[in-house]
Amino acid sequence: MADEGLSRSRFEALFVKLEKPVFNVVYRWLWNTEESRDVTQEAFLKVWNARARVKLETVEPLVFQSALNLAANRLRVRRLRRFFSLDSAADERDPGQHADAALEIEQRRAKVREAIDALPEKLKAVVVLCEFSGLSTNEISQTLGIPPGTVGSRRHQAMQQLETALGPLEDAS
Amino acid sequence: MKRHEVFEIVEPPPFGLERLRARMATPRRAPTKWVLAGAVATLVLGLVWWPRSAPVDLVGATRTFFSEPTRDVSSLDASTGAVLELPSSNPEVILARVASLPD
Repeated sequence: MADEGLSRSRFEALFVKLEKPVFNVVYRWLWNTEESRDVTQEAFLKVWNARARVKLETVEPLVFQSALNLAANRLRVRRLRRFFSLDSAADERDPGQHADAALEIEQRRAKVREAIDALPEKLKAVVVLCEFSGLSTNEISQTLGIPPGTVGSRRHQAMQQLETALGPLEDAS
Repeated sequence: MKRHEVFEIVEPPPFGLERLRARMATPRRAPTKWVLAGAVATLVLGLVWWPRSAPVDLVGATRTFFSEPTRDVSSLDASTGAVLELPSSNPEVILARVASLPD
């Protein structure tokens, strides 16, 4: 008998396939390994809890959509907490990520983070999904609820802004 | 700067699947915001639909107060003043005219 729904084994296979891409997308919002891991898991759990209504052909964009929403919410809460001085900016630093990194690498990462954070959220979502999700342009347009042409133009804009901040980006040779 | 340096792949912490399985095994709680929203909605509906007695006709009562101030009144005297009970079109509304007497 063919199982058309999102079975547990399919869901776990989906997690194995998408954990890293989703984590990397979320990480560009939160810049914190633990929080990004939590949000990634929450996104998958949301999809699992809604499995009765989930279509298999759209499940991957759905996971990214949930992850982006949760990450944006988490960031808003963090900003609010910081506004009311409940958190200091130091709390969100990621000690594990930089503890033994060379100074030069650390500085480069800080510069990259600053440039990505400076992007408007709409551009950031597109460029981060394009670079990390492995989704097609159509799937990204579905995830963000925008036309495929807009995905292309926003990506172009985002890359231009990143190059303005970081200098020309060279492909690895 | 190299493109792969800008879009560096970060490894997620290990044991993600095990952690996810553990979370899936935990029974779901009703999200607090939905519980709160339900309570507020119930309260609002209760206030709107709560059965009331006949509405009080304040306008009518006021009109009566000014148009028929002396009809069928009873009076209550006090040592330093007087209270005149005035007719009211609504039994739930009592109108009274209070006057103080000079010493």
